[in-house]
Amino acid sequence: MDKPLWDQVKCGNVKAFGTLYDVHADFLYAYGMKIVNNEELISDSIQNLFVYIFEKKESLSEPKSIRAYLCTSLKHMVLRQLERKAKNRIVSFETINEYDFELDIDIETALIQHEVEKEHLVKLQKALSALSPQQREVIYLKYYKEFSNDEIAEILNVSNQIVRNISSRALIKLREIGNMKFIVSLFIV
Amino acid sequence: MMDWKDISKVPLKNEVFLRKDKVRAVIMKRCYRANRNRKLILFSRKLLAAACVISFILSLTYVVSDVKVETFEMSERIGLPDGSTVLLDQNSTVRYNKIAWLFGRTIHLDGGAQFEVTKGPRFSVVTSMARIEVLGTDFDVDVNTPNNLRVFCKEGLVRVVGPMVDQILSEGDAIELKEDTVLYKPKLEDYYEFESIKLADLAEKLSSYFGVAFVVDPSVKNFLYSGFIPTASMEDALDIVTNTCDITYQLKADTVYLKNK
Repeated sequence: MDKPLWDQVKCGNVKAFGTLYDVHADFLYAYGMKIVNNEELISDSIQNLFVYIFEKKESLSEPKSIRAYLCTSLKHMVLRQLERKAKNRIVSFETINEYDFELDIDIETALIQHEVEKEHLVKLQKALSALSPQQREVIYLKYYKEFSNDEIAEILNVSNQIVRNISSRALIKLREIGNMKFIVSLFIV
Repeated sequence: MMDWKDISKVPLKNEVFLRKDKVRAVIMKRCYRANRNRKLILFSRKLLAAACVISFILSLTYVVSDVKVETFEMSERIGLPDGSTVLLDQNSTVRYNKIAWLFGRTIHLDGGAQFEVTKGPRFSVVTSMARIEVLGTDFDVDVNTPNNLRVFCKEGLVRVVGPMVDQILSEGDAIELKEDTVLYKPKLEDYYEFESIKLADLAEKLSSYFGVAFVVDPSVKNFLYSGFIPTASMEDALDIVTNTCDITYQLKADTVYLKNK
């Protein structure tokens, strides 16, 4: 669906561009908010990203995966914004690049929607927080957003094999912490 | 059977983009504006390209339309686009542009030429010393050296405009520009008519016409003269005056003596 849409966007079709935004805006927002929990900054970055794409549409190459391209671009844009803000606060660029990628469980919603005990949720949250930011990002992209290993590799700027390694290590770590499969299974019921 | 992908069923915070529609509206507005500006820029570019092509064609046409006629041993008669003619003297050059001619009849001259101009918009002859604007039909222009210009008006009116001159010439008038001097030569009438003019005053006028000095004897200076005086010949003029007033004259060197018989 994305490729013909992208072609139309490149031709300057504003309606197609609107559709591109409708399809990807929610995911981009959710992804951006994991990098930095700042609604205004993420909204502005998404706006700037789409405006940039429209203005440079003719010179843009066709990405292998549009959502991976959007994801990567948004991440760079957010980090650049943070870098700009940090200039006045003496924060190193390395610090900015090391974002947390927090996966905060919405405990209240989980309790309402699923018959789970709060202690299980707290345990799951602890397990997720114990992962490295990169592992959390891979878990999120792979299991929440169903990105392929290649797409994740593009976003993280690593090889496909490294993505697989990160993913398997993350799952091993989750298993070590507790019976996460059991907790997760509670949500399927 | 449980799979790890089921972890996505665990709800996370900050998953709902509340400002999605607002951001969309801003993006769409900017996209429409960018499209409009782009169309405007494309149109401007096309317009500019068209203007460049037209300018190039016009410039080329202008250059091609330059006409230059040069004479060497023989004089030559040249017809101009408006029907006017130029009799170009030996070793002279005229130059004009057919396109520029449509907006103003201007011709550049280096050397000597005689012009017969048809009626129409102002006709100008540009020389190194002055610009001659033709208000009549027939005139001569001669630029012998870079610092020597002579214009003679045969018919109508001619205006000579330059750094040191602004003179209208009538039929028969001439003007000469020599370096820093301007010599205006108005046409002499064939006859001048006088009515009861004192001989002393008449002598003064004849002196300026013929370029000679007059000495009038006191016994005759109050004589009155009425009648015509020809300007073609000084002798004829003096004969008529002396016969009418019954006096005599004597020409010695450049001085005329008028006295009683």
